Amino acid sequence: MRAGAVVPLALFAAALLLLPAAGPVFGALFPEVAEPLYRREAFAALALNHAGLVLFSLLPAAAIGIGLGIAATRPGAAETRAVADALVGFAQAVPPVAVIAIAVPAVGFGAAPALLALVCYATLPVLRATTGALATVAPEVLDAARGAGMTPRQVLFQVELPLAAPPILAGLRVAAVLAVATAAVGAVAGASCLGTPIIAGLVNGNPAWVVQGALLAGLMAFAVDGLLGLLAPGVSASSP
Amino acid sequence: MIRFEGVEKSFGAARALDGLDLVVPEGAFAVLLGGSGAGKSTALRLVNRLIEPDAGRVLLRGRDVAAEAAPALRRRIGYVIQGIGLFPHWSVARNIGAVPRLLGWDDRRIAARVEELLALLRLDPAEYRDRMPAELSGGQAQRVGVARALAADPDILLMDEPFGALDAVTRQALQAELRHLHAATGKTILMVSHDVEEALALATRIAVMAEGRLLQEGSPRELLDSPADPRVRDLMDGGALGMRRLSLVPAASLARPDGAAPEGLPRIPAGATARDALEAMLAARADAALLEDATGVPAGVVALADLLRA
Repeated sequence: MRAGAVVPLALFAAALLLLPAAGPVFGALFPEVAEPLYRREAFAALALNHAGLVLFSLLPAAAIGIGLGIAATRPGAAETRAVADALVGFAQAVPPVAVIAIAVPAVGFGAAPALLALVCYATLPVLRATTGALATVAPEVLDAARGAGMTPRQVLFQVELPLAAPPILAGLRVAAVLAVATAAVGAVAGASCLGTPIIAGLVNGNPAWVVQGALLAGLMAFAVDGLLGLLAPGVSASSP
Repeated sequence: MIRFEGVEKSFGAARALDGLDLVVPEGAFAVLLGGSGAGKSTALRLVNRLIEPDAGRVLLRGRDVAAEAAPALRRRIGYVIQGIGLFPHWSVARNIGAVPRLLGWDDRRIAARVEELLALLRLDPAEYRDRMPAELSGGQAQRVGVARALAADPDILLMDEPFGALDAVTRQALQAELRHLHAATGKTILMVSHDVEEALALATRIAVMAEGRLLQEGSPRELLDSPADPRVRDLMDGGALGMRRLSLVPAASLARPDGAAPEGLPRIPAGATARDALEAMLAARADAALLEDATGVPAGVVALADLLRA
């Protein structure tokens, strides 16, 4: 299990270190390209920005997803549940690129539309995991908790959330991996991230850049999956 | 003392309680007996306010339960359910200490209480204290469930079919311990059951319910001998009226001095019921049984004919 976290992380770090020196390799692989290595920004800086996008979308997504999930599973919260279901359905129906395209006129170019799209997408698995996990807490355990004299808040924090934590963490893990992959799309709106070499490569007809961006984004997704696997063992986002 | 006054409760179109009036005396072991849908569980859950009545009220020692905040009320009332409902993420000790912890007891007092209760329910503290619920058998888990309900020393114990999911042998063992517990502590126990044998084995008072109403309340003997309603008669009779009557009578109360007891009589403990005595006679093909105390000293003879006086 430790190796599952360390190996992807080591691969990602190695790629980040070796890629700037791999110009001749890409030159040999793509002889038709004039500039085989992406040099407009350092890969490390792009990766850092990418990680920042993921982190700052994941935190609000976790807060919204877990919060809505809790609200939707309180007794007598049929309306909240309907709203949550509608949100889930809506967020699922619209592709990330469309969210970014719609967001640009509202919030401008750059990181903001990417963050908006990422929050939308990352909230979904967290919300799903939270409502699902809370629904699996056995009714007799809840009955016993209430019968023992726990207040609704004590039932939630002492019984429901601890019992629901593993699937919720698994949902967070899925959301994180999804966010790493989706963040690359943010480059379309001008966000600086590992998607930037991909977009630049597509625009300039430079497949080497596309490969470099995709390689790093993919390895980062594995690394994040491995790291969060330490928190939420059992469910892997990388195995379907 | 628990008093139900004209309690009504509906769930949607279904009427669970249709004007329940019932008094459970202080210190009684009362069993709410009836088929499914009789309203027994609803009545029980009104006492600790897991359900609120539509009309009428429930009084605990003369005080309306609705007058107190539900969590505070529930911490004073022990509650045991059929599914046991142990907190699966907490050890046995933490489960038992749940209510004391809510009441703010310090750790040392809780730990001492946990030891005491494990011993009372015949679970070795050293062996079971740190186990998780998943590592317990059904019978052990229900013992822990009872211990948890007793932890804060409540005056009243509510039990909803506590032994329903257990095998017959475990159930009988736990019934015996519950009887012993009731005798030792004098707590008022209100228990829901659909099992007449269980009610006869445990109850000092039985309340027979049907369709959300009380049919009859009385001692087990009263209900057997003078049922007030055909449904009570059918339920209590069950084709075993004579045997059930015998099971309520101590064999010692029918016995005579063992002066001229013949050799080779089957021997039964002095605390046995008349039913145990009959069983011993039938098994040994004898027409009498010899009572003996814990040290094996004869304490009387009960003959087949004596059983007719039961």
